[in-house]
Amino acid sequence: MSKRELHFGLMFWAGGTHPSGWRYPSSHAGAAFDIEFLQRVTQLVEAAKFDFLFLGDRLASDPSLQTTNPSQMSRLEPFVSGASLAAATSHIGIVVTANPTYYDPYNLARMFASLDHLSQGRASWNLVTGADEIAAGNFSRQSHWDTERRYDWADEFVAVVRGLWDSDAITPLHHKGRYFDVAGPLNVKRPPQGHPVILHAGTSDRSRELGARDADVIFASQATIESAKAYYADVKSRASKYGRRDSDIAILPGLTPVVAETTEKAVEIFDHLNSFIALEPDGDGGEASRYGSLGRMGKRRNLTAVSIAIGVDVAGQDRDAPVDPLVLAEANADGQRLFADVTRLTRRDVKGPNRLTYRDLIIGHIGTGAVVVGDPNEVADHIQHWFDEKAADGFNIFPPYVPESVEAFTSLVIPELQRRGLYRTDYSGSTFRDHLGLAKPAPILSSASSL
Amino acid sequence: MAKPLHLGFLYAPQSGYQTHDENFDPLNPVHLTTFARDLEGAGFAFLLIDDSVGRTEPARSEAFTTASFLATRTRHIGLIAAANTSYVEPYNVTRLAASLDHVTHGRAGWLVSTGVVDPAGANYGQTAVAPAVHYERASEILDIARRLWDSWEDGAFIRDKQSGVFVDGSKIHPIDHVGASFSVKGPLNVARPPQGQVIVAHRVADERSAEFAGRHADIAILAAETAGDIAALRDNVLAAARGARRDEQHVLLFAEIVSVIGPDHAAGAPKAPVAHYVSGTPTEIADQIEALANAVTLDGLVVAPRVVRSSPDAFSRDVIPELARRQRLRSGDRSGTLRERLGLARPGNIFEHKAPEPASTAA
Repeated sequence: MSKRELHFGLMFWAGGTHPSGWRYPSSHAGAAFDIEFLQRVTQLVEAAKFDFLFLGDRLASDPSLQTTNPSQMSRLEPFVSGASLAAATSHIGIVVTANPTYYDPYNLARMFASLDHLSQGRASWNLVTGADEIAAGNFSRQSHWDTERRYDWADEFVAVVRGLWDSDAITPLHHKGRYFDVAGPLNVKRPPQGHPVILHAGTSDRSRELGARDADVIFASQATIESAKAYYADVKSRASKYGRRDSDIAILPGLTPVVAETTEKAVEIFDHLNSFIALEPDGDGGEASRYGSLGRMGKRRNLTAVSIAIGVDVAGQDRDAPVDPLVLAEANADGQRLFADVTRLTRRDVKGPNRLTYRDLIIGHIGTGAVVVGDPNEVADHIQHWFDEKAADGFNIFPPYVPESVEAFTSLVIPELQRRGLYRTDYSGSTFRDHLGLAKPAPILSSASSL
Repeated sequence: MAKPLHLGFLYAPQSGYQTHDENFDPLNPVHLTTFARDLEGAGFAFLLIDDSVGRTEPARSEAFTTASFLATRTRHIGLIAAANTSYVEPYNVTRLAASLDHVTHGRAGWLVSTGVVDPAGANYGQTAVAPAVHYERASEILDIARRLWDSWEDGAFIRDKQSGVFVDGSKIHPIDHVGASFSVKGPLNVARPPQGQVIVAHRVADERSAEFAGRHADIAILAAETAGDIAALRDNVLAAARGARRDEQHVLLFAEIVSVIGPDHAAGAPKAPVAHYVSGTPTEIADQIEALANAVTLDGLVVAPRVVRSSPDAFSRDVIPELARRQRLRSGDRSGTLRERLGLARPGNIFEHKAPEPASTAA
């Protein structure tokens, strides 16, 4: 068995994945529609031998996202970006997000087969089922489908798409199922990878099952190593019942690295980024519809919300003042975790020479996902720990501000991981499947048409 | 003397009457790149990338991904990609076209086809419907697309790092379309295309397609055998444009010509059912094109060769220089958008003078 090796993807959000990343001085605020900028960033991670560039998507827009998630308001359609990036690169995998809920399998199979030919075997489908309620209004739907309906549909959809990739004049498909009636064959030749790589993300039972059965890469969002290990073990054990080996699926949690030559400098960048987040006055601590109905509610950015979360009333405190040690002493378990997390990221606590502030608590409270702040060794240690502990096979890197945080990661952390023998120093093949160590699948037409 | 002509090229290896030589593989990105760059160098204003979702033979890659790939490998040529309105969601195809316009910096177009010429219901769980139904759907999708392209005004992005204001919500508009086949709330999730509205092309071979092109298209591609039939289609398109209260100057009229230089290397393949053939030596072909241009007032020609070649073909090599020598071709700046190159103004935004709609634009 070949040695386990890290895999990296770059989650490309033009303005950065941090909600205020676009305001960072070196960021390109108009990056979303600047294809040459996307190409440069992709070339940057290709030079660092990343497995893939990840193009997310949403099928709706909402001006209310501008203060919370501006990168999710608008973007280039990902097949268009992906094909254009394919023309500017030679090795890196190109992940296009596409939602079966709002596509026809015949069109999607053609798009991915075409992208796989144009990129010479680097296409990948991030299969999402769309928790985005407002998209329904753009697709002549009266209402948003519930999870069961979306996954029933997606299960059959992906089987039809695979069947179309495998189809030809002799075995044209002739699929007749619960949702789809597709004659075939596909009129684009079988993709160079056989089947483009399939990515999937999600934590629901249906999502884990789809991922265990159909995904080559699973993009997870666990924020702690404990939850990530449990998720990792669960998905890999589910996969075994479909006859799949552990090495057939790469589980890549999201990770936001804030890295600089020194710890102090990294913390300074982290604070600088967070200084651009618009906070709210105290008073209402309830949920906020912040993410344009992106399937989850946001948290209020004030001390009232922090008070509710930690079980101690800190509303009305001066946000720049150091937090009273008594607050930590009286905080509930969630509060203890919040303090520990803020200290881990900022190196500030309630006692030492560096004191954490009430503002730090607000920032920590609204933060999501796994974040690591530190020098190259500290960030590499974090990555190695998750990898060794089987919480991850690698990471989907969330660059908080672009392009500088990408440059910092590729120039500071990647060489350290290479020195440790954890990460490739060059590509061993030219297709995305090659990077993942996956063979080209044999045609599976019969199983596709029997659904 | 007739006005000088624009030239477009029709790439349609799936049309049944176009083949390619043995050194050209339509799925090979290097071949596609060379091919598009050769056309750009030969002076073609645009490349029409035709497509089919109904024909079964595996012949080529999907048009919008192909066009986006070529966008990066070319600098000046317009890239007009086909999509069949009978089998797409309007929001998806509108995004594709708007995004292609961004990555080409305003060189994009959409060749609208329908299930009338490319029936594919069997791949989409649809039963066959009458031509009128396909065209009603196409017409509704075009109405939706035009409003979605305008749904972000040009000044909608503020991107002020100091204040943190990213957009001006009063310049982002839902379209609230409710029609016979679709309801689309909007806005689009793509900034307004560089051309304002992406160039729309449609192939005209009968009254129904002429009506559609006159109403919706920037480029009408007239496909008929004789100059007289081409002139008749032209008149139908212009009548439809007037009927839709459009300025006739806003519909560019191109005749589709199938060029056969020397012996017909695709003689074994079926001929196009309706097409104006030009054949013979390069000089004879230039004569035939002049005769056509003298007989019918045209803005340009769409050249559809019988054989797509891996290196510049005789039309590029010999006929184009001959037509240029006879001052039959448009020359001029090719650095701008496709609209600019074709002499079409950038349209205003239909939402720009409307009052803000508070319910949907509150930040």
